[in-house]
Amino acid sequence: MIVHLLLFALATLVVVVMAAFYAEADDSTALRSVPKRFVRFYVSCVVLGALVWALGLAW
Amino acid sequence: MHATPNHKAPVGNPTVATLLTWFLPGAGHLYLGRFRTALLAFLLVEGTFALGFLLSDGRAWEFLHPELRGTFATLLAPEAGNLGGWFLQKELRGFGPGFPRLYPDLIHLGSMLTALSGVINICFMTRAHLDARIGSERPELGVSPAVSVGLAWAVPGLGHFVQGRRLRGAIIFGMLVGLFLLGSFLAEGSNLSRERHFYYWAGQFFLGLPAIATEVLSGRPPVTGEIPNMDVGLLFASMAGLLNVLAMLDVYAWSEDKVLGNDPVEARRRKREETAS
Repeated sequence: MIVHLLLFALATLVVVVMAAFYAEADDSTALRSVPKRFVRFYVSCVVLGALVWALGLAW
Repeated sequence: MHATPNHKAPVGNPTVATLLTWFLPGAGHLYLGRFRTALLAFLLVEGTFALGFLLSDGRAWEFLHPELRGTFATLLAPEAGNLGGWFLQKELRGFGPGFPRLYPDLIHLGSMLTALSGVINICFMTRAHLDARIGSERPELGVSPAVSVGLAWAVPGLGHFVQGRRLRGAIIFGMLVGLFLLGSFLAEGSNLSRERHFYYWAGQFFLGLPAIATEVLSGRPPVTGEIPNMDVGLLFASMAGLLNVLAMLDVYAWSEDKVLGNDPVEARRRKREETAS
């Protein structure tokens, strides 16, 4: 479980850095936005995953 | 990305030029009256495709498992960037006779070349789109937008590097190539074959030379047992290639703004604000 969460965190980091670079042409602005983007994306995905898991248990 | 500088009159419709190039390499530039570029596009794209087709005997689509075959399934392959070649492949060979047979020795090299023809044509499509707006009045800015896109495909981050955005280029190279290598490690190299994973391979092909070199150097190792992390490995490797498409778009947008005389940072910010509002 921990390994999967870490692997997902790694993939998330790459996705949000690329998204930040795509959204912002200025490097420093893009890199400054990465922590916020990371937390938002990672937490949203974990909540969604937990919801799907809970729905699976309910059914 | 569709702005036209006031001081330059468009020489054609950018959408028409792009679509013509997609259907037949060179046709977009022929429409714009740029005969030399048209000839270069046709020879380069169709020459690469023809060589790949000959080496693979046109059988790359036979890599697809029968249950994955469909009329539009192969539009997800890089060859779809060269729609004329895609149609030729579909009409001449399709998915083969429907029974297993030995592949030609050079089928992997051949299928890489047919895929490459699609990527090269994407570069010519970007050039046709821009040429339609600015004609031959291109300011001297060093590497052209289309070549920058090609470099960004060939080595992730290289397009940014030649634009002078070295930090961004280095981060993109480290992250995408790192993700691809981690994926290949987790999948134990099983991702390094178009024959085994047609669609995942299509995604990772957009990582360019690092993916091609790793595949060639690995010698496409046979799968001899269960691979516990194969799914995540395939996903990571393919994701690295697909994220490089974002990097290619970023490179193109920067070059395009420079050519059009805009400040790339301001132009991107303005566009984002317009989209948000």
